[in-house]
Amino acid sequence: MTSRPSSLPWSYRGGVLSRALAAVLGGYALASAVSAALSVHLPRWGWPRSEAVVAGTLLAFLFYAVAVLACFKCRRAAGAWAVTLLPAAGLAALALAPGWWGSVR
Amino acid sequence: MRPDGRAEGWRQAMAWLHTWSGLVLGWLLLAIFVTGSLAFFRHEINAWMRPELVQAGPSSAATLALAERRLRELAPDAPQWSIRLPDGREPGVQLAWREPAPGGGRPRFETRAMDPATGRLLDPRHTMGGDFFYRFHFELRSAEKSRWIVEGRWVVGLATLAMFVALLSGIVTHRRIFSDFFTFRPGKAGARSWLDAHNVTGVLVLPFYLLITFSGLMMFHTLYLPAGIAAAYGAGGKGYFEELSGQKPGSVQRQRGTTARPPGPMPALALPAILGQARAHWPAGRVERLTIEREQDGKVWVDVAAHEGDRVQYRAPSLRFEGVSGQFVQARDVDAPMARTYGVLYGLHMARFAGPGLRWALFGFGMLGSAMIATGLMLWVVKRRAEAGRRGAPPPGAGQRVVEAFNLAAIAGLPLAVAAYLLANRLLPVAWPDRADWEIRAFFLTWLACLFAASLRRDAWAWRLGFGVAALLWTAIPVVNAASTPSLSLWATASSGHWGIAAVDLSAIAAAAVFAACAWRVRTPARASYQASPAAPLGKPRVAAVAARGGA
Repeated sequence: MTSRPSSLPWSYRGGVLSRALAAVLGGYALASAVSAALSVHLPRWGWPRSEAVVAGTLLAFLFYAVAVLACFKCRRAAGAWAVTLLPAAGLAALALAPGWWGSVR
Repeated sequence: MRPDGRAEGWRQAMAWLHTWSGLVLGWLLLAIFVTGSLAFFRHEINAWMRPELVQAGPSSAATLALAERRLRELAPDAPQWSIRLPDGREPGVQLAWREPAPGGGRPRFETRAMDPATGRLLDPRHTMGGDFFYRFHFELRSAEKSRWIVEGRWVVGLATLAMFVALLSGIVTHRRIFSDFFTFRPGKAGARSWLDAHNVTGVLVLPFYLLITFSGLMMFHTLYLPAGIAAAYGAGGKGYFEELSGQKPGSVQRQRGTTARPPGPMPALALPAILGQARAHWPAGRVERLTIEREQDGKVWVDVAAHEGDRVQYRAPSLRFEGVSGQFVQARDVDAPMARTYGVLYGLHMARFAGPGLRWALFGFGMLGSAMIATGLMLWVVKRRAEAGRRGAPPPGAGQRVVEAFNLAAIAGLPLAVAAYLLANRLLPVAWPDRADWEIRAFFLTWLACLFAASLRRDAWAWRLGFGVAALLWTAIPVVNAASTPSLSLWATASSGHWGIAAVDLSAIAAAAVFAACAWRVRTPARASYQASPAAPLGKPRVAAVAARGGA
């Protein structure tokens, strides 16, 4: 049996805190972006707005939970932020794109 | 999450996450599960806690006219009336009306109970009844008119997310779900039997846990996750509710929360004719509620809602009529597929559709979930003890003592607090000022006292005492009930066929037996491996023990 350190290093504790924040806040950003992107774009395929919102929000909660799992699977805390914030940024851009497009034209 | 930062597989990573996501808000989750299970019976608990309503007679064809006449006396010029007809689970007609608050504040709702047979107003004791458990379950309600409702909903939402994460990571961790199902070794010493109990309770009704957790998040999606609504409807989300409930936007102007009072009194209404049309529309269904709304221009709309228990999907369909002429305006129901999916998830969580058999089954599932959480919390402590015992480690650190104290206060203390709430309903004088809030204070003060006691001692003796006192209090419930309100004694309710009310007393006896058994079992050899911790106060500085470590 390996002997444990008598106290865990602060770098480890910081990593746990960073991942927890990435999971809760980054995951929330990802979930928001999923629901926003689907709510904006599903109506293009003929979905009524409220239907798009419900479908997007149902999926968003699943993404949230899976994002939390992924944050604690990542080897490094930075990976946890990347795995949530990068797709969140992409999806947020997708959700906001029609507005930008409209203002440019 | 290995402290040395080396790579690990999904199972190891998820085992760590399962442990900590379950522990961090585990005690709150236990309280949410227990109160949610009680909320399946909130109408029955309401009836038990308002003994003055048991004298209400049966409803008849004249009941609606009686209710209308009574509302004309109570609130002739209110902008909104609501009449809830009795349904067998809770006696009495509920009359409600909205008073526009002076100065533009939020409008107030007033409610009264009426005897359906005579139209006489009933005067039940002031209590939140079973609705307290219902409201605590999703918003941590701490007083009849609490100011912290939104904050409470957010905390419950965070706990629900933690539950969802713990369930999913638990599934990854316990891959052998099918074989775990058949593995229970109650005689085995130490962590093994706690782990088996945790696995069995976790696996047995796993789909129920997933459903109740996911739907719980979804039910408050407009609060928790408004991004989609904001993206599609703009920041205020204006129009979303209308479209979600199947109305065409702008088809009917609703003046929700208006502060102005429409001029004059409520005009004469064609309520019996409207009810007749609604009954013809739903020949096999029941009518739950009539909502009468008067607008600024004098128009009156009557919405007749079908009974929520008549189908799984929530909300029930409704019919709109013109109030004065009684003319049918439109039927409202949700038929879009996603909105119906949401409605079914919502309805499964609320379980209004469940008859007595299914309701008891769902309550049992909720109790299994509570046992799953409780055994998980115990497992955290027992595993660490076993490990420390093997290594001859120093006594438990502050972190472990805090967990032990919270475990004791949550597992043995919460049932004690629930019993105190029910007993306060009978023991507080009927005319006591603020008595509804004092009942709730009895709940929280008892719980707090348990936490204080648990901070002093957490050994086997303390557990036995906690369960023993819980058994005594639950035994006292039917006794105090019979002594203080003879009309509601178990004997009286069972012989008059009020089984919903009798079930509260019978359940109290069953709960007392369970807690007595728990108190007895604490000292048997099977639990001897749960070693008594030295009675160290929480504040004692720890020596060298590690409270937070990697690995499950």
